[in-house]
Amino acid sequence: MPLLEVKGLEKNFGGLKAISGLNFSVPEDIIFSIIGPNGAGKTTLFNLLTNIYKPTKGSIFFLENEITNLPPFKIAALGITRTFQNLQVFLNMSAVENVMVGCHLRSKSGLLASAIRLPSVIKEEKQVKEMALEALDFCGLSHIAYTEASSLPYGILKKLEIARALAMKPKLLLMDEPAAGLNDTETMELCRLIRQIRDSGITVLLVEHNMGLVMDISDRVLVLNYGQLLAEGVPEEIQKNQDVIAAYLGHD
Amino acid sequence: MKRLTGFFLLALITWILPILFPENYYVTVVGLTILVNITLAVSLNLLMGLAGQISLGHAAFFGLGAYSSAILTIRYGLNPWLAMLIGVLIVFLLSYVLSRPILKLKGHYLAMATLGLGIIVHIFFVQADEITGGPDGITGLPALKIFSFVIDSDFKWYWVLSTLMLLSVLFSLNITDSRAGRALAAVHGSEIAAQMMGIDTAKVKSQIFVFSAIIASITGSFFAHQQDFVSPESFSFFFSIELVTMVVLGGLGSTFGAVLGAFVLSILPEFLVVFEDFEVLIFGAILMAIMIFLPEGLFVTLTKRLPHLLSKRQREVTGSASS
Repeated sequence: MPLLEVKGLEKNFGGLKAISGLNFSVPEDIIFSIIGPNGAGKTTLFNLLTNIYKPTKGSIFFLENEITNLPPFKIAALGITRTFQNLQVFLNMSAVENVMVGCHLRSKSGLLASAIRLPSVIKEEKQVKEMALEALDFCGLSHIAYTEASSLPYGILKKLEIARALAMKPKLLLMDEPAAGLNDTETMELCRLIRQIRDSGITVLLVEHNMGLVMDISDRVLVLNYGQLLAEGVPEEIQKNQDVIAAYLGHD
Repeated sequence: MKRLTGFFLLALITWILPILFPENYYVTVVGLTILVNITLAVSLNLLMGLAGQISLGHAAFFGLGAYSSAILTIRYGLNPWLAMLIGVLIVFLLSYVLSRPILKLKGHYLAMATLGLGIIVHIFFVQADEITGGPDGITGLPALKIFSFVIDSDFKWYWVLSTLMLLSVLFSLNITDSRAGRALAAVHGSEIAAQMMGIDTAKVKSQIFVFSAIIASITGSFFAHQQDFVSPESFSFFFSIELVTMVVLGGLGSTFGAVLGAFVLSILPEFLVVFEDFEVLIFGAILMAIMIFLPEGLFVTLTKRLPHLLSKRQREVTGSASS
């Protein structure tokens, strides 16, 4: 049974077909990368998977449940979350508070209980903080736990966004260009982190421009071009595929 | 309990003042207005500062609470507490029904919609004179009793209103530092990321809108009994703007910022009375100056800069001692 299945997906923006007739499925516990030239529809695909955009046609299944028209917060509740190409860290909070928001679905205190701070709330606060610190530790961010997010550098914020997503304990993590803007050392650390995430039992769906990174860590690669599937397979197959080479380098 | 140090300090100051100065005009007369304004500003800050949803109609809920108490006790002879409860119910229903469509709007559009709400409610107070007494308002509310204890002097009112104020501050601090508060701050920070963390953003926004409206309504009921009089003037669009100014002046998103903002804005006019005709002019100039030089608000700037300044002075002192 595939974790994620996409059937006949289509998205039009006016006359532009951003995604058309797309079929693919993602098995569990792997790193699955989506690559393609600029404007191929990679981020659009992510936005469709999390229903930030509504598909024009087609359907998306997660563990055989249809999620095509579920609001994003319900999709998150099923175990899908993402990081963003343009960072969406909560800059009005500290690092640990950011990650504590990631624990939203693993805790349940409501507004009124919080207002009068019932004993159950105090207990849960403690648990949530521990979960958050654990996720920060996993990403090697323990040292900045209590720093305000607004004063952290870009590379750290990228990791913080990953820690926040991991605090949810998702089944599927969508990462939109995690290596963009990182230097070589940071990229290598990221590589290791993504592998660790997969090994902890979370399937990773990756959109990335850094080909070295993609070919190095991916278990499977899907190539998009003009919103259509160009090729899919293990990295070695993709590297040899003539259509893919043509799409990236142009025809003779 | 480090978390509540600020709260206990505030409680201490609030409760020691009337004991030290029981007859002081600024404590027991102006003080009551200040307490009401602080309670309202703190409730508005939950919506505006924490969740980032502007409201230019907060005075409407304050007014609905006040009018509910006045009308139900005078015209229908209801028990004041029951009247207050019915006021809360009315405000609950109204704010709940309005919250979903209104809070779908963002920025200027949300400001316009809440502004409209405030104006409509105000027009209702002025025009529906058979119920509300029109522009003249209603006077002659029965005294509020806590069991057999009658609240009939400014001094006693100080204790009631200060308790209400401190409760709202405590609730606000508790919420800010909780799962619910973080969800709201997340909505403020990035609504799309909040949704991807599983937060039902429409629901949490609606909840805090209703919650802050209910605090305003309860405050309105107490205000009506304390003033023994309600008129549309107290609940106009201008008062909504004043509340927003208090929140922004003190420092958006900080509970104590709202407290300080409300305090400064309520007491300033008292001291500016000596300038007579120029009062409003100077008042405006002070507000402008604060916003230009302390854009993060009074409280936030002070708490950020003060430790910095103090440590700098300390270094200079130790530096000159060693040389």
